[in-house]
Parts: sequence; structure tokens; C-alpha cells
Amino acid sequence: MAYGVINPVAVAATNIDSYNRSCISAGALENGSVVDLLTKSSTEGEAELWVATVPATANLKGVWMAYDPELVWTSYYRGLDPDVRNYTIAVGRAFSAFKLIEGDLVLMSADAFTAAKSSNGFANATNGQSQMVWGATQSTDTISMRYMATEYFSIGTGAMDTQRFTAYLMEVLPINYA
Amino acid sequence: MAYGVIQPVAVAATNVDSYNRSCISASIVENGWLVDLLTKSTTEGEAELWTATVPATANLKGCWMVYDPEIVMTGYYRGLDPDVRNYRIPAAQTFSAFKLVEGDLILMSADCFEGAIGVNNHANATDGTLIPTWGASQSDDAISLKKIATEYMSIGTGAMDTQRFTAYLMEVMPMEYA
Repeated sequence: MAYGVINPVAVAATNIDSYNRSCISAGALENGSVVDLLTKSSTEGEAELWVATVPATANLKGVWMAYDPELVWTSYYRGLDPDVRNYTIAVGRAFSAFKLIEGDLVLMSADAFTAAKSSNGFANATNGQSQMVWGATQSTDTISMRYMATEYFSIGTGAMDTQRFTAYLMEVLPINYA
Repeated sequence: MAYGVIQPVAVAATNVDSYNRSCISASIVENGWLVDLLTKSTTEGEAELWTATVPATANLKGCWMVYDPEIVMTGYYRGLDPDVRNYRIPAAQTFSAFKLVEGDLILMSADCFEGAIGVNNHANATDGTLIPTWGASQSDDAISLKKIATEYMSIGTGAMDTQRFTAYLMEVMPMEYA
């Protein structure tokens, strides 16, 4: 199975240090996953890490997006597999996340979403879901992204006849309050 | 009495120039207090200064936080007293303030707050007071800070047996609208 791949095309976190955090999660995540960062880790040696949790209704307005370098593990080795789609963030491993800010543009592979794109034009942070969920409209009181264009990623396997795969250019919308 | 001491751990104002302003107030303020910056000063020679006022109900969403270098005045002299807790900003003295942005992390001494922390986990901008006020929950339509952890600051008096004092790591919350 292919995992989510993202490319932050233009995000505020590129320039603003405070919009970037190091995190750790009790569940497996992928790039493009959205998480709540509500508490810091209390585990020894993890004082600088935030505990990433699955977004809950009360905290959908402030979700962060997981984005870690795609260095794939092959058993004990890293870097043998150049296909970024095989990268997933393992449980208990530190990773980076950035804050989604209104106006951010993020190119996200189809795998980075839950549900089918079909004719949906929005993706919303949703209670109990660790990925953005496709929807026909923008949800209220939540981080929501609008579909801008269908583009692609070129994959770097180095093999002949390698192709490209679909990705969607998404823009973070101003929050719609209920 | 000790005055408020803060350390901006990760704030957007570090990277964004427009989130920083020079201000002047008709009353005494301390580091960590909240002010409204609604008008610029009309006093001759103060064209670049904003007039800091006590936050009012209509403007609790856009409060700025006072943060000035802690160089204590001793009589006519500055720099003799190294204890940052003795620093506050006299009335009509220029000081700096930065804009509080969702996700900002600020370490704030217990003296920065109004009321006792008790079991409270939130500090809210409140009508009629410059001081962030402890509360059991996040207030609507106001800048609100959530306590993430109880930490400390080391004081630099240079004396033997100097201790550390309690400080709270606070995060600026996404705005809740009524």
C-alpha cells in the first residue's frame, strides 16, 4: 500500500519557527496526517516532544500536519528504497509537524486523504480521523482545505518506465465558524 | 513584590516584523501583561509609538503582550540589579509588545497572572484588566492561553543559594467565538 506524500508548496511554517514542532505519536501516521498537539511528552528523554493525538471535535480548529523526510526503512536499513510512497511514520518515532495556516498551499498525494476524491472539492479535519477527509463542502469549526488543481508527483525510483502519480493542490481556508 | 517575567519560547513575532510594536502607556505595566494597541500616540516626538490601553470587551481578540528587556532602574541607575523580577515598565516609558498568535509558546512567571492558578488551566484576556486572568476554561472572543506545563526560570542574582522560581509554559489557543 502506498502512504501519503506531501509537498508544502507555500506554507507560513517555512518562515515562522513557532509553526514547526517535533512530535511523537502512539499510532502510526503518514505524511499529510493531521494531529492535535495538546500536551508535551512526559516520557524521560522526550521533554521537547509534543504528543500527537487523533483530532477530536473540541480541537479541530488547531490541527497540525505531519511532514517528515521520506527516508524509507527497509528492515534495519534506511535509504535503500527511494520510493517516497513507502514512507510511514512508525509508532514511537519522533517526527515533525507544521501548523496549517489560512492560505497555505500543500500538494498532497491521493493517499494522504481518507475517502474518495470523486467530485468533492474540500477536505476537512474530522473527529476521530487522522487524515483529511474529502467532503462536498467546508465543515464548520475545523481546519478545512479547498481543492485547487489536480497535479502530480514524479517518483524517483530510478527504474525504467517509472511514472508519476496523482496529487492534489490544496489550500487551507479561513475557518468557517458555526 | 516580584513583577512578571516572560520568555517567548516560540512565537511568530520572532520571524514576523509586523507582529512587533513600540508602545507607551499611561499606567505602569509589567512583562507578560496584555494591552490593546488601538491608536498611535499624538504626543509630539512619539509619532512611532502606539498608545497601550487596558483591554476592553470589544478588543480582547487582538491583544498584544508586553515584553521589554529587564534592565532594572535603581534610583537613577540601570543595570545594578540583576534580578529580572524587579523589572517593570513605568508609566510613560517606551516599551515593546508583540502580537499573540495561535500556537505561540511563552514561558510566564506566576507573577504575570491575576488570581491564583489553583486547578485552572487557562488564562484569558479580560475586560478591564491588563493582567491575564486564570480561569477554568477558555473565554469566548478573547485571547486565551492554555497551561501546557509547570516549569521554572533560573534567576541570575549571582548570589549563593539563589533559587529558581515557578513559571508556566503557556500556549496561545485558537480563538473561540461566541
